[in-house]
Amino acid sequence: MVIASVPAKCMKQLSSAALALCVCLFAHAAKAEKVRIAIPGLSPNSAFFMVAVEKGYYSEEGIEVEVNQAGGGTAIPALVSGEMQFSASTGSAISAILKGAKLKVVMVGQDRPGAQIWTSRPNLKSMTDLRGQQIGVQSRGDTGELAVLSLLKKSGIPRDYVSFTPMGTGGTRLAALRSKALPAVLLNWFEIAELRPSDLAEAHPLIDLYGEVRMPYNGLATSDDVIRNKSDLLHRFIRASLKGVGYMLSFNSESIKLISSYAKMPVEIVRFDFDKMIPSVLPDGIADEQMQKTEIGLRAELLGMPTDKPIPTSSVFDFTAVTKASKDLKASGWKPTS
Amino acid sequence: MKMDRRIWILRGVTALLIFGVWEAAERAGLIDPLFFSSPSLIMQRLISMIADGSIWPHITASATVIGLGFALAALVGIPIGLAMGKSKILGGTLEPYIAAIYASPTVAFLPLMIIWLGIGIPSKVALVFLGCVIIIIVNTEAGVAQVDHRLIETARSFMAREMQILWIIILPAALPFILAGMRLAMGRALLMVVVAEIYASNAGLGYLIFQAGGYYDTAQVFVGVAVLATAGVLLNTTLRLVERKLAPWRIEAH
Repeated sequence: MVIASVPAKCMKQLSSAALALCVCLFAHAAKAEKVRIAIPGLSPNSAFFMVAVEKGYYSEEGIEVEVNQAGGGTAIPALVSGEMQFSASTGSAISAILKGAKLKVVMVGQDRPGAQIWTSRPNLKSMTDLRGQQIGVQSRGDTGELAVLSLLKKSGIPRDYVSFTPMGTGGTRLAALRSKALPAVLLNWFEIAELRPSDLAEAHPLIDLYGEVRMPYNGLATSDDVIRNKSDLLHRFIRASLKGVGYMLSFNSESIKLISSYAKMPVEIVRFDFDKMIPSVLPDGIADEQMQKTEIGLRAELLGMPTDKPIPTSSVFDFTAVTKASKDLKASGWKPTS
Repeated sequence: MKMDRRIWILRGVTALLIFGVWEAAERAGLIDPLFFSSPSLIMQRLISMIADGSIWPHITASATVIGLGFALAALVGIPIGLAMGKSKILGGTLEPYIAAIYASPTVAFLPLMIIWLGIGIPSKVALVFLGCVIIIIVNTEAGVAQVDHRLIETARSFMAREMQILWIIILPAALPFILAGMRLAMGRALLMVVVAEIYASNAGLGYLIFQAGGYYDTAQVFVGVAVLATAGVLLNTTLRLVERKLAPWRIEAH
């Protein structure tokens, strides 16, 4: 009876609106594409990614992101098998590529390693004092070890000047620093931020890898299959990631809060790491040719591969998608908003 | 004898089948050698590591840690297990703690071991010890618990001292359980040495495996695994022979 009393025109309008709403909802649900990404850990090292998630940039591109915490050892086989579409462990990806994996690094986050070598032994004051000594790194062949090797090469010092001891994640390396079990350990910014005043009475930085070394650090790696067969997805994912980079560069304080919330880390620690890291961020996600060649050369040496024939950078890095995404954003006049 | 020969033949055929299929799959391109390697590549790598001597420091390092950790676990675990089996009060008191340690992920103790004992052999031996001692205690206690009390009562009625009862009745009766516990603990020791050598190591089979994994040298990963597996089989066989020698009265059901 109530329905019969509503004017027919009004009913028609209501029905159209309801239909349009249903179509929109359905379209949105149908458009959201699920993507799995592996990040080594929830730390400011993956800042652009966390910012992009928290600001909804991936959702805007119709991408639903599923995050898996996994280091390179797990992430790379998952990338190759297609179980995951992206990994932030670009260092591990490059090693795998040099060994024949069909992957590419499609975006680079920073141009410097966010790390320093620290020691608690008062007799160690510079790199020359480290001759024949051990440096604790996260794992053998990781970016930290490569950064030290890069510095040794730059200084004309032979590779076997120091040796490396794998110590796992920060807790074990901090323990080794405090107990002086190792002469020196490599610490990332957020691990340095966790040093207590009692640690700083004896511990001091020995080598500032961040100030001395230029190398690709963090970013995104994906499989050749994604590049070839899911180029649109790749383009949208990178565009959203670049928006995360853009936001980080424009809104430092807000980014720190977002990262702290996402990673569930104290704001002070995130701020320390973020402030150190931000000058090294690559706004366009591209490492220059020289950096690419140096990285490939060092990794090939580390893996015991022949270095007489240079490996083409295009076999490891593919910045086509990030270049296109960057141009898209400039052309559209996109600017991050707080 | 006929049964033994048949078993050996079947074992050989199974191994040939597994390795044959694996090799064929790699050569046909059905599996990625980056992640699976192949039996021939693994064998090549093993031979070259033996020829250039690079494998021996790793085997020596791991063998030292396993030997020390296991020996310590046996020296500590057997007396504790005997005491717990003999004394209801002691057994009841220690049991929840033993169960708690057994259920704890021993790898979580690694950072603490490094702080307390440093990054050298002691922390690794401690981790192997922790992994083995509980198994030996539990099996020894079970062995003592199943000893026929009539034998003990009879011995006591003949004025036998407690040490005589322990040495002549309890220990021989519990021996098969103790040796079974040691065989189980040996398997655990092989596992724990790999865990102990993941971090804070520059030598050892665990270090070899994880370093190779980081460098995507899958053949070398499998070399480490193969050496550990072979060691496991050899050590298990050795302990079985010891068991047969020391407890010949134990009838094994076929």
